[in-house]
Amino acid sequence: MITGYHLLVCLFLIIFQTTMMAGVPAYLYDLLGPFMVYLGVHRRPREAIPILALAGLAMDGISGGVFGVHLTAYLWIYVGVRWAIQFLHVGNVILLPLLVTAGVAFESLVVAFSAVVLASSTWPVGSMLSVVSGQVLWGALTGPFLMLFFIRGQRVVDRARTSVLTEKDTLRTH
Amino acid sequence: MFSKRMILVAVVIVLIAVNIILLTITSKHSQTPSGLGRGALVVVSPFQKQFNNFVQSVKGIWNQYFYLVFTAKENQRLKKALAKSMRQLNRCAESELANDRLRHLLGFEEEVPWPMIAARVVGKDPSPWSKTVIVDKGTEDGVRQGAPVVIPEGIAGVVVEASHRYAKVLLLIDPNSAVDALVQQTRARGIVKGGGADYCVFNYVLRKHEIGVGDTVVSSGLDGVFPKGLRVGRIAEIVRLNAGIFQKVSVTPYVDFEILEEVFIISKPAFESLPEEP
Repeated sequence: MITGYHLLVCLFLIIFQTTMMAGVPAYLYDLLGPFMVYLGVHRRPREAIPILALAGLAMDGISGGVFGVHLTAYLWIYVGVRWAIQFLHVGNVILLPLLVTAGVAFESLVVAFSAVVLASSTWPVGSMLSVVSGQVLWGALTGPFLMLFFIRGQRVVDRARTSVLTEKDTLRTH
Repeated sequence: MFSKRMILVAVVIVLIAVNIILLTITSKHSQTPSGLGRGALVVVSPFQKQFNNFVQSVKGIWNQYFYLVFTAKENQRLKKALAKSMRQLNRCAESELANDRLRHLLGFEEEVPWPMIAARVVGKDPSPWSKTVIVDKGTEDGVRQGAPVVIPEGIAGVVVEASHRYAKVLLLIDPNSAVDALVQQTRARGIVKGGGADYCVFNYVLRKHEIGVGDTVVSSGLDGVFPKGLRVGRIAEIVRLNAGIFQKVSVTPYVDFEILEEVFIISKPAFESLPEEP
């Protein structure tokens, strides 16, 4: 059930940002970045890695950038967050937004780096600073709210799952 | 002499007669005799008035309430009707615009001698670092990798990846795209590359060539991808450096990539469509 929820969120975010947000300015960041932070905080590797791999491959398939850059970014965000939560109390009001911002900043930098340095025909380095700073700023402002939505959605799914299981148990005992 | 019974009957008859006479007399006058009527008015009317007011207000509340309920219902109905009309109007406007665009495209298709596949843009790359779009035609429809993508205004890009039903198009403004081009007026040759934003750079144009701002740049057909003569853009800026053999030229594409909705994919390879030598 929770895997279905994660897949649905990924699908929605990908479709949303490739169709609805197609005309928005360049500094809008990849919305899957905060989702990867959420996976890192709340999901174990065996649940999260297939999801992030699918999301990364989908984004790389859609994007015209260097293939594998999104997958790489998602994977390292996940690893970084798993490492960070060992000593960070992520329930904290300041630390969680900070973690989301760091995730968005990391992804933005990785994608920008791939475009400016790795791509066959590279972008001017000067454009990197303005785009990345805009994305980080937007990520810092809106990313934590997205994260809250993901957490709330997870709670709803968990509750639904629990009630279904309880109902099943009740039917079995009767 | 007279019995009691007879006297009673006589009194009753007299009373009836007097009554009839009085009625006859009063019926001749419009005003009530003496102040009896006025006294009644003074006493009763205030009560009547208050009662009437009360009844009217109750009636008013009753009527208004039902009227408001009715109005609210009517309002809802009208809002729904308006929304429906607005949707229809919007659909009509969209159809009209689509019709115009498709007519424009159809005219272009008739003008262009190469076989083309019409496709619709269904998605855009969200990353600011790559300028690609996804179109709803793929290998099943005859789209192949490397096929040029055009619209009536000019070159839009090139197909870089094609699945069965969809294809990814690298837009002209992406830094990874390049078109061998020449200036229509002077025939100065160079390579148009994407600038990342909404412009392109025209590289390798020799300093000796006289070109001007506003000149049209067209594809040369020498890259083996784009057929000759397709419009690319117009020259927006020229910087002639003191050193070096090339000029720095920037080109504004004719295609507005922000509003790209339908495109044509040229299905025949460009080198096949080059004019044959006599």
